[in-house]
Amino acid sequence: MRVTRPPAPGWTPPPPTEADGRALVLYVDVDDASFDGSSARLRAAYKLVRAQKDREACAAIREHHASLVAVLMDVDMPGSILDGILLTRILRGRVPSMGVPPFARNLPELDVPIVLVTNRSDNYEDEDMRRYGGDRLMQKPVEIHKLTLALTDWHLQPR
Amino acid sequence: MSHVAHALHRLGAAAAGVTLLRGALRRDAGQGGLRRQLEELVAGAGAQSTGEATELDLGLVDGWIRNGMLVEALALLGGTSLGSGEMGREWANLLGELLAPLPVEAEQALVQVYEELLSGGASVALSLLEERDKREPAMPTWATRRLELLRWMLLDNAEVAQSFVVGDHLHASELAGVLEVAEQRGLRVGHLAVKSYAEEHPADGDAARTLEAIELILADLDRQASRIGKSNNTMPMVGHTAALMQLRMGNLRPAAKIYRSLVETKADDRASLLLAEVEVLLRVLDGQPAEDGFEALEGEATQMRASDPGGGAFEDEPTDLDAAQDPESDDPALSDWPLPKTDRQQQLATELGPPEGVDFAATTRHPSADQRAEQLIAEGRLKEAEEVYEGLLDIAPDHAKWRSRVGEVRVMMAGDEVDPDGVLVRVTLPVK
Repeated sequence: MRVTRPPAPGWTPPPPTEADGRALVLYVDVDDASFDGSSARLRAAYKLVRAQKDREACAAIREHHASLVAVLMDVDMPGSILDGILLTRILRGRVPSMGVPPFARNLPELDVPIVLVTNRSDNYEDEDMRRYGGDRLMQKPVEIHKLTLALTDWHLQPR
Repeated sequence: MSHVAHALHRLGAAAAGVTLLRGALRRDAGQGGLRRQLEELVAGAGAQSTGEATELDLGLVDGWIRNGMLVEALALLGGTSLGSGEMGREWANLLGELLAPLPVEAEQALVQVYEELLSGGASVALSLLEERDKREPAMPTWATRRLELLRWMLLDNAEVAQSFVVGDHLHASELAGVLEVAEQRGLRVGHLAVKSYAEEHPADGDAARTLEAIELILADLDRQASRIGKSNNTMPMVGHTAALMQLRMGNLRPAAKIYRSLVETKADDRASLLLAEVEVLLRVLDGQPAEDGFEALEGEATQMRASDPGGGAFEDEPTDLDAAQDPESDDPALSDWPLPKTDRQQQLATELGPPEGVDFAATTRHPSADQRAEQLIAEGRLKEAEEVYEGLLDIAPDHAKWRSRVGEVRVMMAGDEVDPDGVLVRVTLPVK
């Protein structure tokens, strides 16, 4: 089949990182390189709030929960008490409160997709992530079209 | 669509297949087969597909983007390696940006744009964004950028779309092929394609008339949008609003049906005018001349007579006014329209005469509003004719011919303003 679309013209440059107004996404990852790579790919449509470890993540959720459209969470989260899977289960209310560390108790309800990200996506199954309360598993760095596809699917689901 | 979802599942991209089907069902909820397939995929079962396998390539993605199926295009790029090549990656990134969820605090107008994008209404989304862009306060940077992205996807390549359509399908005429862009991708995209064609074919009267019809409709769309923009009330999706929404999406026939209903039930002059313009487009799409005039009818009649050895069947066709107004009627024997004139009407009509360039005899099956005004003049009903023209000028204040004509009608009503030689004194209406 013939593809005839011409090259895209010069648009306005992407909004600067500091510009407000884009959809807010919490990115939980201690690895700077992963964050920078994902941030560069997502910045055209998403504004990332970064948390490096579990405590920071919980604080950021308390502060921004009303504005978030998604959470990107590293599966492993080295240096944290909670890994990404356990924190996801807590955020989805699947862990009894006695099993939740104090800093992660009474978090606000989070009705947005949680995407687990990893450098080793071959080691995990998408289905496993869903079982823990996550919505997708993605390879780092996160591509904008893959994140948008996951969030679009979330939006299209009947509620 | 079913085959593509099946292929995505086989490629290990079941999640993309699910999104693809959800997008297709959001666009058209009446696809029961896709719903069953979606349920199977969500349940983890391999979706079954029958029929021929579908080749997944960028041509398919391109076709979907052109038709506003942006979610499906994104799913295909995201679920396959198509989004990895140079061009595929560019499209994927653009769609990823365009379809990204809005910030929580986004204004309602932009939320509506987002919903249209997810529902296959890319042309509508573009119109809404353009309308919003004209209003204060200025849109946020990300929204302005999405407007530019959408323009590129739907408008900037209209010339390419034109050649794509003409070259790949059979059409009633070359112009019909170009105009089909409007049906496929909305009237604004069609406008660019037809404009380009008309500029390349300056001697093509049908192309010029088609362009004129589209521009008049778009002018009405813009005025309507401006009114909506100034109003704090929700506009009911009936009558003109519904017809204009259909037109914006390129759904010419449903729009014509609404206008026809308005004309027949309410004698709506604005609807009459717009119906005449939409019917120009429909005739072109059918490969007929843009103007359904007397001369064209005469030509057909001559051909019919020539091909009818008895020569009497043609004259036996019904000629009453009801038949003439029946939109389903293709009866060419409408020479009794306009109705026979009384002596006084004939005198008035002779005195006033038709405006330059208007062949009053060359009527359409549905007389347009200006033709109806001329009919009223011929019948001596000058006040009513004046009102019809005033209504038309409300729609198209810059229409020089109508402005001049209403001036002439007013002069005739004043009677003594005709100079001794019988030459009409032209009255220029103040610009509103």
